[in-house]
Amino acid sequence: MKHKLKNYIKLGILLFGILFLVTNCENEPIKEIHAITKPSFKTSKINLSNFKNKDKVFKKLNDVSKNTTNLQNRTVYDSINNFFVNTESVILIEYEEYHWLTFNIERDYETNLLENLILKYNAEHDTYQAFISEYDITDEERELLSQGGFIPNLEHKTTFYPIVEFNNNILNRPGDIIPDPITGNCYMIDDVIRYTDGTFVVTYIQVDCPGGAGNNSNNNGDGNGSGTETGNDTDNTDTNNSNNDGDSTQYGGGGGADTNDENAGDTNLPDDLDNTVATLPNIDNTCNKLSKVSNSPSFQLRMQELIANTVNNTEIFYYGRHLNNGNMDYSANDRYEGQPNFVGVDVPLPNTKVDSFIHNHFNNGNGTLSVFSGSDLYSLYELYINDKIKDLSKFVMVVTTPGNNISSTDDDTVYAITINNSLEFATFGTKFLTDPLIVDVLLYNDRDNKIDKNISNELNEERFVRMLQKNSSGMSVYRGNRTNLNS
Amino acid sequence: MKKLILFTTVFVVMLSCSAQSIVYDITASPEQIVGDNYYIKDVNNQFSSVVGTWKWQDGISYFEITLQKFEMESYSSSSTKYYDHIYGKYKYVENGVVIAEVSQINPFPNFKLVFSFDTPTKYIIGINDVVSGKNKKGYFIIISPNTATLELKDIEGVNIGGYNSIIPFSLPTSVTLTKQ
Repeated sequence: MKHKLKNYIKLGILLFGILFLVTNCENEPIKEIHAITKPSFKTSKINLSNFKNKDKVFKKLNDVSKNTTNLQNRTVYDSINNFFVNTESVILIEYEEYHWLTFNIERDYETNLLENLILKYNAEHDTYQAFISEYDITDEERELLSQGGFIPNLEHKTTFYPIVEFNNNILNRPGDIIPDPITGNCYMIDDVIRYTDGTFVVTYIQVDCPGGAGNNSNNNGDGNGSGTETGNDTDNTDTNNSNNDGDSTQYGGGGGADTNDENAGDTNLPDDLDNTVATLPNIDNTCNKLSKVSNSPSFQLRMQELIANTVNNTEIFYYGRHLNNGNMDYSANDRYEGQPNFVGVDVPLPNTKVDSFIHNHFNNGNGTLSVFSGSDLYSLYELYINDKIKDLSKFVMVVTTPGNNISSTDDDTVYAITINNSLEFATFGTKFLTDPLIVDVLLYNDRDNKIDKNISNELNEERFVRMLQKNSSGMSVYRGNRTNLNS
Repeated sequence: MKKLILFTTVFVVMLSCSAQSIVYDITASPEQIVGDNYYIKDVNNQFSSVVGTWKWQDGISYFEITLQKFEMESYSSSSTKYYDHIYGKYKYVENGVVIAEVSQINPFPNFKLVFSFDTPTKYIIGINDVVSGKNKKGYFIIISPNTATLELKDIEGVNIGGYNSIIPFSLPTSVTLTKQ
């Protein structure tokens, strides 16, 4: 009996312990919304041949090294970058479902440089991105490291070089100048700020390439040369793309200093960059990437009609097609108008592929959305999956809206969207744009987005951009000027 | 037996603690929600005021909607963002004839009726009319514990292709419903 009682007490304590743990696990985060997000990384030394995801890692090493030798061997040789990595002694850093693998790089010549190959796991796509890191440290510091010691501010002595792709420059340190092999433009990292929730913000500007070569002189930018990029270092949300012309600023995109500007070539930061580092992605307000569209006479004519119509009672829509001279044409044959006083405009799929569409919103007394509606995004995806877009990377979608104040046009808006990453756009579309209810009701109204016609234009803009960013939509947003369509 | 209890204990604790998402209440604003690993949860069980069956009736015509809460839903298997959502089914009978019916409640992505929390007494509703294929969006406003109004409007913006049928929207767009 005594023994039985003892067991019951033990069981009671155990169950109380479980209850305590379970209630703790559930309730604590609610109370400490901002305080418990600091990532805790687990670090261990492994042999790659025992690693759970070794097949994918070896595949990446294959891709990186272009090596035909048996990678199951102890050493892998990268014939392009001329180094060896040891696969038997690898540092594994884990955080939740994300991880990084760090290999020591050995050269076949004498060097004092300490280098690592880093494979960063992209959980969403189940792939790896490869970087080389160089550590600018003294012999004493190197010795300290080898003994397991700690070097203060090591991150400031570290430079990361992406292998294969240009667009991994998010890990570069401030001051680094990165060439874009596609456009020839060069960008200087202005600042990298990491937040405790794992989010980082990168700002960068276009600068002269070292040696004076490589800048894109066809840039039509206005010299507002700031770019911001946000993402999460535990989730590959980098939407920077190699197709970036370098002539625009966009969230997730490149910087925008104009080489025709009087400040061209000045690598000092413009004054307006002082305040560009923020927790939210900046939205472009130059629209200079859209210069070819905005300079088109047809665009200016039709936009005047749409802008005037934001205070009327219909939505008007035009498909646009590039002319041989590069201008965009919005033909009267491609014009559609919704029913009076009913928001929305029904439009058939075009017979031939198109390069653009433009339309207006209006306020029928029930309020109006100051940014693109979910239905607009759905329609863009409809064009895409029906193969009605001529060149996705050049497609431009524009909306003009009346804003919240129906008695004034002061807060009216013009926004444009382009696709900066077709793969991300396709993935985002598969997830959210197959049904207008998914995007319009669920995604827009989830509490982490809450894009709504009853809030200010500024907040809607901020939330809209963040929603596209957080969900890796592959889209860039631009803010235009209603009174000057060239800007 | 001891081993079984211990195993169960460890299993339960692991289940509870392994996915440590930050939990936010459904009243949180986007600006409060940080990171990519979170659960937007109906912490105070506010959904209970709408979950269930609501009915508008006029003689032998009626429109009935049934709503169900789905917990910890995510938009993809790799996502670490979770949500509590409300989905539903409906039946519209006009003069004894069934005009439109959705007989099964499906969650994301195959739902035909979805409610999104706006305030404790106001929900944004999205509904697909299975007859015309058209969608409408509107508000479901609770005016007393057992009474609510439903107002449906067109969805703003461009509707290219897919769902612009010539068949008119067949469901009632402005009714007062009673909770059953």
